[in-house]
Amino acid sequence: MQLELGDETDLHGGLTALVITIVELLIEALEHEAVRRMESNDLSETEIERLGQRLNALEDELDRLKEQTEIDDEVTGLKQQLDHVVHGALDEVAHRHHSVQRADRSSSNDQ
Amino acid sequence: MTNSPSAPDDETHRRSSTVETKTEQRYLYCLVDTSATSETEVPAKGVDDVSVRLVSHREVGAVVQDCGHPLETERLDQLKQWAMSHQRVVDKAGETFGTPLPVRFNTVLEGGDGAVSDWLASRYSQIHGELATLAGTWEYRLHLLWNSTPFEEAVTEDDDELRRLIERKQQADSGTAFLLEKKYEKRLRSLLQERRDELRSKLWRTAESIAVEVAEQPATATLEQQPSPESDKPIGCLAVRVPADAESTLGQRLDEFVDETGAAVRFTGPWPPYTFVSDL
Repeated sequence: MQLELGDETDLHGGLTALVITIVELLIEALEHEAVRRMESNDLSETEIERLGQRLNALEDELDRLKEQTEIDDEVTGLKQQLDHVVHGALDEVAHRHHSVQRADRSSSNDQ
Repeated sequence: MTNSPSAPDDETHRRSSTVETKTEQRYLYCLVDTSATSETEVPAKGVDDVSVRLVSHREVGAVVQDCGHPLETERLDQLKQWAMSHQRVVDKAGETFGTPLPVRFNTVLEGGDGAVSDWLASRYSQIHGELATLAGTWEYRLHLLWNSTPFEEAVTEDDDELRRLIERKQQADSGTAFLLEKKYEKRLRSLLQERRDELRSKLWRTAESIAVEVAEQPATATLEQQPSPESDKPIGCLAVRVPADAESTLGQRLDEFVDETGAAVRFTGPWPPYTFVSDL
């Protein structure tokens, strides 16, 4: 499991793409939480409207930044890589948990 | 040692070959059951146009060629050529002896024919057992492709939640509409994921009704000559091991699957059962 930050000769571009990817993921998490609060009636209509406008502005700004730096494809690629990293980590944890359970069972059988 | 493959025009390869040609080695293509036929030869040329031979122990045979070193190159065209030569030999071995037990590309055994024979003897039970298990069956790859656009258009009209979200969005101010749009996208993604899962499960059940074994594979684009329409995206892939006489039934069942679901399936094969052999 590893992330590739582009060509060795373009570390600046790779790092920029990584930072933007992380910010994008953060905004997505904020949007997810905002929708949850909107639907659970935790916020007034005014608060929902203001929150939506702020997040919309943030997303627009990030899109502009990606367009300026021409790293849209890199960000998409990094997000896919992160998906694989997360899935790989989850598989590993699940496998380890399974192995531990098996080890537990065999040690209890030994007793 | 005879018939060593000629070194490709590659500096790295030339360097390694001068060091390693002193060692006698055999490039291994596959293992076969020699009891099914009276043939004792594989009529094929292997890597770098070198003849291949059969080294046997009791009822199992190894299809090999002499070589001085493992195949190494950084040239993609050279690698493709070797892979095609490898596949051609395995195909020919399959035609001659029945379903072969394939081994990984570029498997090289140290030592001469005696060493190969000893290796066969040391693993005879396992190899013989695997060949018996796989006999008369071949592997096919089923690539599941799906154009989600018609489904998206249909659920946009049919799904109550999506319809309600569209109505709310139309009456909302811009900030609220933005959040409702996010909720709409999430609901749509979830419906698409459900449909993809349904299609994959249905294809699995279709394959399972005919196949001896089924294994899930990563969904990748097919490497076939005829390209799929741009809108058809790969969403799944199965490897299936099927009896040799079941190919037309498999084709019929897949046609029914396509008619019922609107998805597309590209299937390739028959291949030696690469996915279903254990490590030797």
